[in-house]
Amino acid sequence: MVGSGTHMDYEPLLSVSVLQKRFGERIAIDGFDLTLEKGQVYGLLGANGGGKTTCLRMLAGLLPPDGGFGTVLGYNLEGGDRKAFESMRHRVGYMAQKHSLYDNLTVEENLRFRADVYCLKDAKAAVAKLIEEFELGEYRNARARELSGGWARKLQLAAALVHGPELVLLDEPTAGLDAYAKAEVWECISKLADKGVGVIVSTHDLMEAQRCDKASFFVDGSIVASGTLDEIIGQSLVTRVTFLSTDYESYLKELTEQPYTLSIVKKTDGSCLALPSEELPALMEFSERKGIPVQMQAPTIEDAALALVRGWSEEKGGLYVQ
Amino acid sequence: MFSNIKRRLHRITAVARLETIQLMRERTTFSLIVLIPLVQIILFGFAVNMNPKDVPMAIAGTQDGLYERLETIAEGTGYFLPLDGLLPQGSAEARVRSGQALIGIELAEEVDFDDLEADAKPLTVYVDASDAQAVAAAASMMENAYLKHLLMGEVGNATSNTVWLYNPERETAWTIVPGLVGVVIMISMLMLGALSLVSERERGTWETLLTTPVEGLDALFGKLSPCVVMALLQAVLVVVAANVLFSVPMSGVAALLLIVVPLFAVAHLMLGFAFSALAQTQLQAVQGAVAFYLPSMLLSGFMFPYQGMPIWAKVIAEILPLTHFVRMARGLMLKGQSFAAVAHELLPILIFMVIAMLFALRAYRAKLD
Repeated sequence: MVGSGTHMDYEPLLSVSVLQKRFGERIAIDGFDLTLEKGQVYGLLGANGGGKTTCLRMLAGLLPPDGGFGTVLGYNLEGGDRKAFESMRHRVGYMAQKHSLYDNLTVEENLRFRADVYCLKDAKAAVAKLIEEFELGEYRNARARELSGGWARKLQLAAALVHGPELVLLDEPTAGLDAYAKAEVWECISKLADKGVGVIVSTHDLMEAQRCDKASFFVDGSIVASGTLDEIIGQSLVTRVTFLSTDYESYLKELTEQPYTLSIVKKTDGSCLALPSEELPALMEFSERKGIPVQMQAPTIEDAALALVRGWSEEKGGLYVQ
Repeated sequence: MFSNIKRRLHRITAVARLETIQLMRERTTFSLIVLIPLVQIILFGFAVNMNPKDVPMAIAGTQDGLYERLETIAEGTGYFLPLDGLLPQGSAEARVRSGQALIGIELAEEVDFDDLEADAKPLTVYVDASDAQAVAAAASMMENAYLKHLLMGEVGNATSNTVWLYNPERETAWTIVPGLVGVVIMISMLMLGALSLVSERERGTWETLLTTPVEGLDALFGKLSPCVVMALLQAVLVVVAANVLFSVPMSGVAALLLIVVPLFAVAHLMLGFAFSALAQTQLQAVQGAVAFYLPSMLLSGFMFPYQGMPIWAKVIAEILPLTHFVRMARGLMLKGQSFAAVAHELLPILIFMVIAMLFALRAYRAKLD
């Protein structure tokens, strides 16, 4: 997928095409395309093991791609240009999925270390500014291991930003956080984008996709849909239908067992069902047979994800062609 | 160019400061650094004795006069503790086999020690060789004393005199301690190096570190420099403790050992660092370190004599830095040799260090894949 950001006056921060990564015989990433503009927030969606982390590592220069081409902040991912690589590392902020903090160091020392390795002229001031921005003052002298999950994530994010990067790569920054902490992290991300920083964020929380300008949905290392949230839902060819009957015994069990049913949720006024759009005639026939009226609804990103994963696995198994 | 060097130094300093703080705050690691040398010096110095005295000895036979002469010879060596007077003929071997004695002497019947024939076998000695080292020194002393006695009988008062150089009292601690400096540093540095990167990998900080401008060389020097200071402290601790507890000589020349310590420490740190970069878990890294230091201890001449080893083992020993460190340490501390006299031992340590460093640098970026 090639993104088309809203800031077309600028050179893209990164532009990569058909990136591929193999680990032995296994293809971890198969044809990843992306162009990211300044101020754009791009989501990498999908289940764990889908290839999101591998993608971010390639973009950060941690893993060399085995195929494809592209540049990140002027650095050609094919390698060779050491100077461009150095420059890229000074302009990229990276936050790993793991709790990558030095537990025995205080909050301030963790930030100071990151500031020092970037040889910032006024490391002390940079650290003080981040502590204020991320409201870490109360924990300034606390060891990293003493922080709660939410504060540790905030510290990780702050550390990734200490050198004022133009591109930020965040690997599952909200994993394991409560709703409030997640909202705080996303607020930080929005502020970064407002400042013109390009952000690529991986997440398996599909609700977070709506906070991204655009996203790609990964299944087994392949992108099965990409674009805005609505575009991804559209590409999934999924339909959401409500059965308007509370006589659940008359239809719910049978409907659940239908091969086209992706998900079904029992509600107070009926049952909500997601299914591949092409199976809609079969569903309508079921509805008529049972004499239950149905109401079409807008599918959610979760419905789309289920359809995309099933479509992918059935295609791989030769059972289903989307 | 100059600004590049300045930035590199800045990054190395940042990593070194990080490591120092972590070492100081990680109580277990820090206490191990102090405890390892202290425990080793106490065990090797006070408990280990390669020259055991009071070896139980049984003498069996029929001639009281001969027994008394032999007992006098044995006691004169200072190594034996004769048991139960003269035992019945034929019981010496049984006493050794029953474990009551480590050495048994069976005196032949009707033998005149003052008029021995050329092919006479006036006595048979039974030695418990299941622990040969425990009785080797004593048996050797007995043989010497016996020969001396015979010699006196033949040529009047003629005798021999053995001069024990460098360690007149043959104190085990004196032999052990110089090499122990190297053993302590080798184990500590291998372990610290081995745990350095792999613990970062397990914590997840390594991945992040690789995205920063910190390069392999920065990480290597930054992470390892506080460890070199630790190695120097350990060396001083062992040498001073050896001097205070066991009166191991510490001439001014011995202080020159501190020049060798950083090189020796860096060689093992680099190797440990390479193990660390290649390992997936701390256990794997530690196993790599153990697989290196055990043969080092066995082949270096620290525990067993280098001269007694076959050629292939000697070739391996020559590659190991500990072999050369032990020679230098004994030369400087025990023999009071000049630095120039032992300086040639530095070259193999240097070569090992450079190869280990190249290996470590190559391993540093290789493993995210």
